[in-house]
Amino acid sequence: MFQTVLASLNEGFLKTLEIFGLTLVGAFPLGLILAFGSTSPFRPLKYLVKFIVWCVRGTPLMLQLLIIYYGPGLILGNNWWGTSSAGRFTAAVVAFIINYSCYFSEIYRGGIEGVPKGQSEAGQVLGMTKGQIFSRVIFLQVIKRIVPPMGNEIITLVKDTSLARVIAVYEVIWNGQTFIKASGIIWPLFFTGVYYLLFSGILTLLLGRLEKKLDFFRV
Amino acid sequence: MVVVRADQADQYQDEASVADLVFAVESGSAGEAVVQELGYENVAVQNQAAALMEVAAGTADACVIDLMMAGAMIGEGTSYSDLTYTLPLNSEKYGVGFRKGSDLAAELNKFFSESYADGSMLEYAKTYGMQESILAQ
Repeated sequence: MFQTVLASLNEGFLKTLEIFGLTLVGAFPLGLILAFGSTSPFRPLKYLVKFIVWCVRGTPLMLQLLIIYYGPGLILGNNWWGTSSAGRFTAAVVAFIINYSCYFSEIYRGGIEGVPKGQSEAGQVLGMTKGQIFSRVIFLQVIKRIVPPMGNEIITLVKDTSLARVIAVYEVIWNGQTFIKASGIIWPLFFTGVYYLLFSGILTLLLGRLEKKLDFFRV
Repeated sequence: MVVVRADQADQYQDEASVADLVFAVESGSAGEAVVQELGYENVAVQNQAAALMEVAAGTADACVIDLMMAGAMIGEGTSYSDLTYTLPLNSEKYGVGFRKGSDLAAELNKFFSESYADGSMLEYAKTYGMQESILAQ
């Protein structure tokens, strides 16, 4: 029985890792774009982005999953995702990317605005363009500032992936729960905690190493 | 019971007609078991309410839920007024579970006997549209 449970949980955890990885790939760049939008001097854009970020950060991720997956069919009468498991997975990843990019955008914004203005001014004095100032002076300092709060969000993401089961994406918690109904045993559900602990432990170590590597200058 | 959109219900009145549909079923339920036995394409969801939402949103073509749930959650006055149920895929009997050794089991059996005898069980069943489903005495 243990081998059967382990095989099922491993399969579910692979799905968890897929959601985790794809969310980071999408949310990191989208978050930066949203951060630029929310600090834009063009006010309509700034307030639009701030409104979107407020809506997304102000509602539960579980609700967003339900709205993104079921909403098109229920509200618009047009199901965008089809009836396959691939459609469910895509909808879940889209919801996670939108949610996490909004949180990341605030972290980026805090990091960018926290860099002293003198850094940009010094770049201008040296004749650098705005793009050069950002990429060669500001960005590395932003990275160093944002690694700790980003690390928090990344570890939270590992656990949030379990919410994907509300739209029947079979991640590790779902696979653990099915043994309760199918076989009347509950320990597989609690055993899923081992997967989360191990993975978040690995991430904690990696993020700690990254922080140490960036410690060669002060911000 | 098989639940489909009301405007398509006349197309799905027997097992052959529903064979190509994608079914949403509650994970671990008798509905899931019978759909798998029949070889229909299916997706397991968390509960029967989620299965209904799948059909309403078009992310599944049909779902299989209990007759009692179908009676209570579908139709006029609900968010699923455009769904309806068509054919049963199996027959089920319901029981009430207690902890082993509980004295509630005997009390409930006594209540059932008395309410069948005085006709109140039939009245309760009519309240929920279940009068055809109570066991004949």
